[in-house]
Amino acid sequence: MKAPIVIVVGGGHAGAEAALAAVRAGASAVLVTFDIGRIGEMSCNPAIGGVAKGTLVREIDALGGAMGECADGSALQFRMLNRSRGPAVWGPRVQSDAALYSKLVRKSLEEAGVILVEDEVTALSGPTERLSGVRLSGGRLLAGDAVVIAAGTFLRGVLFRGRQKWRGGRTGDGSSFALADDLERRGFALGRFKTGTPPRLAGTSLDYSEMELQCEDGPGFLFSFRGRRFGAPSARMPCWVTRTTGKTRRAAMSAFGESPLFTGGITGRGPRYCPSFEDKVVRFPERSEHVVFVEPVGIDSPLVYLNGLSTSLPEQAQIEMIRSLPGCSEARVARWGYAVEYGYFLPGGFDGTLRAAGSENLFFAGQICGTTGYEEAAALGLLAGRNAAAAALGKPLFEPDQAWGYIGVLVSDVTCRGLDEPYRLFSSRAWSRLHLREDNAPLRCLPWALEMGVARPGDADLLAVLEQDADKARSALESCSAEGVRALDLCRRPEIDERDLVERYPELAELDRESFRSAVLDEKYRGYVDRAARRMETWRRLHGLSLNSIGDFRSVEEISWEAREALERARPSNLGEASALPGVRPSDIDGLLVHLARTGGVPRGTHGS
Amino acid sequence: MTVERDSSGRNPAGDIIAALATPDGPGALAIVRLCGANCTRLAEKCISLSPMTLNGRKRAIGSFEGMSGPASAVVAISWPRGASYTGEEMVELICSGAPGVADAVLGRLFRDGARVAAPGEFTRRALLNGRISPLEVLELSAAFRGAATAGRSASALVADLSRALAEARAALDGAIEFHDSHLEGEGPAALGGRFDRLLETASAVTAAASEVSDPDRVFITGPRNAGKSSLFNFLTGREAALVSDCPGTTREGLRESTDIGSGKIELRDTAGWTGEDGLDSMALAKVLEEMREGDCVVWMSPRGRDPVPEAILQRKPRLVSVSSRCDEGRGPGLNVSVLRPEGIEDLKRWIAARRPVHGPGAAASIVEDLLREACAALRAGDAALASALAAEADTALSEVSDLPAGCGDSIERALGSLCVGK
Ligand SMILES: Cc1cc2nc3c(=O)[nH]c(=O)nc-3n(C[C@H](O)[C@H](O)[C@H](O)COP(=O)(O)OP(=O)(O)OC[C@H]3O[C@@H](n4cnc5c(N)ncnc54)[C@H](O)[C@@H]3O)c2cc1C
Ligand SMILES: Nc1nc2c(ncn2[C@@H]2O[C@H](COP(=O)(O)OP(=O)(O)O)[C@@H](O)[C@H]2O)c(=O)[nH]1
Ligand SMILES: [Mg+2]
Repeated sequence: MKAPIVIVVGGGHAGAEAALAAVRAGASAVLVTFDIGRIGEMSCNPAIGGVAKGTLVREIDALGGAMGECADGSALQFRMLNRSRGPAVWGPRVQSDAALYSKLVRKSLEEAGVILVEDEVTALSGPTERLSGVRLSGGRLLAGDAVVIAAGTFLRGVLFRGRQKWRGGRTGDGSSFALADDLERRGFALGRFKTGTPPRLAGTSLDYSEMELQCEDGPGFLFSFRGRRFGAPSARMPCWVTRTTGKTRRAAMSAFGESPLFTGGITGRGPRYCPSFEDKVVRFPERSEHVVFVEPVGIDSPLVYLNGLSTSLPEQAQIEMIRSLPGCSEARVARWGYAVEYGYFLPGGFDGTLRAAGSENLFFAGQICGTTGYEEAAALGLLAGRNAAAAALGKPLFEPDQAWGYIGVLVSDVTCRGLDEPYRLFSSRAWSRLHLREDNAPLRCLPWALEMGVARPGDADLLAVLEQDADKARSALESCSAEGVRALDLCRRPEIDERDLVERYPELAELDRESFRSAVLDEKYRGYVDRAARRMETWRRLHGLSLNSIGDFRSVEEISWEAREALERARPSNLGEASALPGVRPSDIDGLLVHLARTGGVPRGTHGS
Repeated sequence: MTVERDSSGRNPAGDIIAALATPDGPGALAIVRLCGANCTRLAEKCISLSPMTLNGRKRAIGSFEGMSGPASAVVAISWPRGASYTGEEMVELICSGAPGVADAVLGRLFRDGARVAAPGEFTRRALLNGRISPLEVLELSAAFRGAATAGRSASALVADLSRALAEARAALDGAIEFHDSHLEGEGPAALGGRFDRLLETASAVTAAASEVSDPDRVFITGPRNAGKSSLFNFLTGREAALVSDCPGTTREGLRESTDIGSGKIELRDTAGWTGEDGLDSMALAKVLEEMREGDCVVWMSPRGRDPVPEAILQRKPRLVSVSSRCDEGRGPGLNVSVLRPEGIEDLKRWIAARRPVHGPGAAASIVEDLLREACAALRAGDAALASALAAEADTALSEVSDLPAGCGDSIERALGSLCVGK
């Protein structure tokens, strides 16, 4: 039988992982994108990873994705963020050679046999319930068995700088209006978000002696647990740190009258956590300076990126702002900063498998789901691509669980909650960040990769080795003892880390280093993680508890009148729905449980773990 | 007056209740309190006001026709639904304190359809309508008993802590998520200071919440003649329990509040354990029924010769086995003699160290422990762990004012301890 075809619309980070996952899951993939030369392009920051995002990249890698390997292969600098904030929130991050990254993504696609088509998808073809393919720019039909849309910031993308406004998904690229129109006609509601990017400067025009040097830190790491797939760039490059001044601030403020943000040109909400400089001036009036990281864009690129100075002010204001930075008084601008406003699908348009509502074979992935960031896009892409292949092959779809990784946290957050700004992953969004760490990502995710059918050849053996090493490390911790103190007990003390243990119990040095470190952290946090898991388990069990036995909520005497009325109005079918209602407090949920227990709707003792 | 009723036979917004809110007996003024849907209509009729006079938040003077002269003047103050103490429509009628006036007014109201309020029923309605928290009910009850202490109340302290905790969590998470980026967070020293202050507030919450909590319950159990009643008397410093070497003297469970170490406990003497034989099974069944998971149980027998009965273990108590009358012969575990006396201080320490698992005081001490751990984690450089603990503390804190499931009967008791009219 010929493999079914998954069509992927978009060659960004979501589209690339979607096509690759579809192939691993047993389909053929055709990827249609505006410009094949810009596949895997970093529209903004030349970096991959960070706090929570870095952990997500390690999960993507364990799930067979390419992002980790491409990041390793294009890294100009490796840094582990948050080393001083506790191992559970370490954030691996690389500074990438952007052009090289993009080349490696394309190479990965080609090696996997993904067919690349350079064209615009203008419409879907066939009824939404079961699409037959997509229409290309000339009206030509491209037939396929499932479709993943990963159009990024391109759906009705409009770019802004000062009073200028033009169509595009990012600078130098087209915009996707026709496809957006078709989707709206098919009943999918689009919201508007915005984001922005800083100017790029000619690196040779800067005086680095006035900036602070920022080098790679500490021992190296790779994102990919499989080791190096691609060779490394020929050199490592440092970053530099400079700071905005009162002059930068004044230059920005004097141009507020021409800002599309403040004069109503842009109406979409931007990410609060990735603000433009003009936003920062308004939001932090007491702050006299803000850090700006001066980051190289690539070895062969003369450009540097000004991380922290995203702006859509007019060019004159931009140059004044830039020249007010220490080390930039002679700076030449190679590309101006701008903002983009784009359409995204409101929650409800798709479910936790990323399948579009009311369709058998249409999937959404990446920025169009309301997220922001390469890593978030890639994770969603991987899931959508895998599920699209599964739908085409008639296999069950998969919905990741919060308990197995940030990818599950991400999916349940974007599908369940209303987003009022582009969604970015944070470690505090995790149900238990003490468990969802970067070090144990392979061990957590590989079993799922195998179950979903997206693992790489040989992954099963790698998992077996990892599990063996983990067992060995654990039993060593249990059996090692000096002066009557077991290593296991010592490692639970907060101030003790794996190096202290090796010092005290030299035989531990023989273990696989990474597995040992993970085992130590697992033990350190076991009590807390178990507690969180129990809470989550209880909640999950209670969540689905049926309330259908309650005839009239107004007669439930154990809860407040306010809740009785709210419940009777909404008549939720289970406890989870009830708890989401305004006016229903945690004590009312307790009250409902007591009521159900009294009236025989639920066995006693379900609560309170 | 007709009152709308739903299928369960109750008025969903509460039927009209009325009671005297001022102490019984003569005084300058007496206040009659009314609550329930349309109670303003009833009040208007009672003191001859034209209909709708008391719509909304109003104050009006009317006259009660059952009286003459100055005693007939009555001031009415009304609160609409949602804006009153109970959350339902309410009226207070302020009338002369002269003998008989308030009674006559109440009589009239009852005739017209109001019913007598049960003790604490106004407060119960406030609780059911979400106007006050269970913790505040306990506070009211403590104040009513005259057990209130000076200083900020537990619920005010909980509010303080909740606010400070939210800020500290935001600062801590900011430091984690934006470390090394352009929205730099607070430094470790500032965060440490914040958490130390949180811990201080948390200790204050524990102290205040324990004040109003039901005391930890300690059951003294064991076979007949183990010396239970003697121990009970010794610990309470009274001769409340009958001591006798005639087995089976204690029939009814005695209870006494007493101080042990840091906190109050409620000590209970029980009838001697006789196993299967019928005589005391009623009394024992009653004791077992009253035992809640987590209660403290002292099981005592001479030389520790009797094992703890299964029926007690099933209650999942915090259990200590004691060899009693150890002056006559020693046994395993804690050896105690009332005669000598010996082992009593150890027993007290054991009881005090195992803090109660019910009520706001217990919930608050969990919050305090979590925050103490968070401070230690922060000092050890593990902000992530501190943040996870702070999040747990936040969840636990909501149980201090809302009370976890299983505390229903302490609320019932608190409501019952209030007088009619409260
Ligand atoms: C100006 C700008 C600033 C940004 N700033 C930030 C930031 O500060 N922080 C941050 O985390 N992220 C930022 N991003 C977002 C980041 O670039 C995206 O999150 C990420 O690239 C999303 O990946 P994606 O695969 O969903 O979409 P994209 O990377 O946008 O890729 C979309 C792809 O779809 C193709 N495409 C679209 N429509 C069609 C069509 N109809 N037919 C064929 N092909 C089509 C495009 O050619 C493109 O290849 C910014 C993006 C832009 C443009
Ligand atoms: N020698 C000795 N006798 C005790 C002690 N405690 C109680 N007794 C005696 O044991 C008998 C039974 O005591 P009581 O407290 O009524 O036992 P209960 O049936 O368990 O309540 C009485 O005669 C007491 O005086 C003790 O510590 N030492
Ligand atoms: Mg006795």
